[in-house]
Amino acid sequence: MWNRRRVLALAGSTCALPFISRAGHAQAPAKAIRLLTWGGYWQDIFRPVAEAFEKETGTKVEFVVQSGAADGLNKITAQRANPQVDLWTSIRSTVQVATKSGLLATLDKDKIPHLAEMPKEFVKDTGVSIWLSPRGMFYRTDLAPFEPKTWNDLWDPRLKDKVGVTLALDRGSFLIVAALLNGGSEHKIEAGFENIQKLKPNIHTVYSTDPESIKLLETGEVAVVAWGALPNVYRHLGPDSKYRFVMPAPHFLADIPVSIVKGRGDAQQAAAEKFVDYMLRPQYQTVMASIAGTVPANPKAAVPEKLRSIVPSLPIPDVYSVDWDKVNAQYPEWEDRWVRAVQVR
Amino acid sequence: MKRKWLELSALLLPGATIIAIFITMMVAMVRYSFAPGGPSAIGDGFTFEHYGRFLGNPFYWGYLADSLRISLYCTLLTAVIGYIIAYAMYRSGPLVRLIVGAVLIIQFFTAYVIRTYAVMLIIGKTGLINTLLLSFHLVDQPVRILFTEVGVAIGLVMVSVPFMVFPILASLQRISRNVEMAAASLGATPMRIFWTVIFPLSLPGVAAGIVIVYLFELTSYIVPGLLGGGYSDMIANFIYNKAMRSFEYSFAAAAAVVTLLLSALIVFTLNSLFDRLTRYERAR
Repeated sequence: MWNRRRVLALAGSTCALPFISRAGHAQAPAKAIRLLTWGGYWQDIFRPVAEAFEKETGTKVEFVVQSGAADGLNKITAQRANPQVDLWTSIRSTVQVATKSGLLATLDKDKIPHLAEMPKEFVKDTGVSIWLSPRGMFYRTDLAPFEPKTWNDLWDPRLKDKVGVTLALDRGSFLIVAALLNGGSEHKIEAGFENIQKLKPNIHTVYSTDPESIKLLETGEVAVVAWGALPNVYRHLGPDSKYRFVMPAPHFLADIPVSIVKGRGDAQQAAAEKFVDYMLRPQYQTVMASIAGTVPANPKAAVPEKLRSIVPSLPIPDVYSVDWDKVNAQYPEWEDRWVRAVQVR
Repeated sequence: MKRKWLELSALLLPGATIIAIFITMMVAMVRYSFAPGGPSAIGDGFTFEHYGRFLGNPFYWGYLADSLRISLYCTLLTAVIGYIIAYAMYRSGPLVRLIVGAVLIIQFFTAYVIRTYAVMLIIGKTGLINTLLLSFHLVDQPVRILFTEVGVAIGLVMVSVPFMVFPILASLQRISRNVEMAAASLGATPMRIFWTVIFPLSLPGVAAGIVIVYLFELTSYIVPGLLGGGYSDMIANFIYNKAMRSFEYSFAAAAAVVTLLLSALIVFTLNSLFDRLTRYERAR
C-alpha cells in the first residue's frame, strides 16, 4: 500500500541513483571511449589506430558521427550537462569557440608524453593537431576547359557557370582567399566580397559540406570545386584519374586538432588521454596520413609517398595563418552578407 | 472506478509522455528566444532584441515571405496533380488502384533524403530531363533546373504528392455512386456532375491535403538545401544556418517561434476557410 513515507523513500532513492552510478563509473577503468568525428571514410582513418589501441589497452573506441565541425560543436554544447563523447576532432575555429565555452579539458603533458614531440604551434591548451590537411581546389580534367593552377584561375571566363564555392567550409576560408587575392584579409574582408562579385558569373552553386562538394564533382554539376580538403578526393587521385587536386599559393593547411571533452569522469578522461597519445605516435601518424592524404603533425612521422606528388613541397612553404578569433567574431555578419551578395541570381 | 482510472492512465501514458516532451522542447525554444546573448552565448535575462532583429530586417523576414510564397504555389500545384491522380485512382479498377497506391506508398518507405537525391538525378545538368532535351536537340546546352527555385519547386511537389493523394482519395471514396447516378438521371453532363457534385463533396479531403502539404512545404529543409544550391533557401534553412553555423541560438529560436506562430495562424485560417466551404458536406 502506497503511503507518503514510501513515496518519499522511492523519490529519494531515484534522485540518488545518478550520483551513485556516476561515482561507481568514475572508479572503474573505461571499457570504451567515444570519438566524435566525421562520418564514413573519415572513420576509416582512425580504425587501424583504434584497433591497435583496443588490443593494447582493452578499451574500445566507438565512433559518433558529426556532419561537420560546426555540427560537432553544437552536439557537445547541447550535451554540456551530460556529455556523451570523450574525444572530438574538429577545426581550429570551432575548438576556439568550444574552449571559450568551457567545454574542453586542458591537455595534460604528463599524461600525453608524445605532446613533447609536437611543434609548439600545433599544441594548444585544449587541442593538439593530429594531422595537417591541405586545402585547395579540385577539378575534373574531362569537364574543366583548362587545368587551373592558381587561385586566380577560378576567375577565368572559360570557367563560366562551372565552379562550386563555399562559405561554410572552414568557416569563411574561401572568402579569405578571395580577399587575399584582392589585397585584403580576414581583417579587411571587404576586398573578399568585391572579388567574389567578380567571380559570380563562374559560380554554378554554393555548397556547405565536404560530401556535397564531392557529389557536385562526381555528378558533373561543376567542373571545379573552389575549396576543399585533399582527403576528400585523395582516394580518387592517381595517374589514370580524371580528378586533380591543386594547392595554389597562398597555401592553406588546416591543422586538425583532437580535444578531450570535459565532464565524462576520471576513468574516461584517462582513457581519452591515452588514445590521444596513441594518435600522436609517429607510426600511427603515418598510418593515418596514408589513409587520409594528410601531412602528419608529428615531424618524426614519415610522410606518405603519394602525398609528395600532390602537395607543392614538404614542408609546405608560406602557409597562411588565419586569425580565427577575428573570423569567429565576424562570421555571422559575413554569412548574411554572403547570402545577399552571392546567393542571389 | 479506480481500476478504470488506472487503465485509462496506462493507455494515455505513452501519448502524454510524447506530448510532455514536445511541450518541454517548445518551452525551451521560447525561453531561448527571449534570452540575451550573441554567438555561442545564451544568457540569463529577458529581451525582445532577437524578435526585433528578425522582424525589423526585411532580409531576415524575407526568408519567411519567400517560404510562404514558394509553398503557396507549390501546394496549389501539388493539389492539382494530387487530385488528378486521386481521381484517376477513384475511377479505375481495383488492380490499377492497387498498383498506383503501392507506388505512392513505397515512397513512404524511402527516406526523404533519398527521394530528394533521386530528384537531383532527374533535374541535374546530366540528369534525365537534360539528357532527353539534348538528345532530341531541343537545346544546345543543359538547361539549369537544379539549384534554382524551379528545381526546389519540382522537388517539393514530387515529395508532397503522396500526402495530397490519399486524403483526397479517401474523400472521393466516401461519395455514394447513387449521387452521381441521380445527377445523371436529371440530365447533368459528366463535366457538370464533376464540378457541381463530385468536386464539392471531395473538398474535405482537398482541405486536409492542402493543410498537411502547405505546412510540410513551408517548413521544408532538405529539399531547398539539396536542390536550391544556396539560391533558394527557405526559412528552415535560415534557422538551421543561424543556429548550427553561426551559433546564434537565441536568434534562431526567435525566428523559429515566429515561424511556428505563423504556421499556427495559417492552419487556423485554412481550417476556418474550408469549414465554410465544406459546410454542405458536413451537413450530410
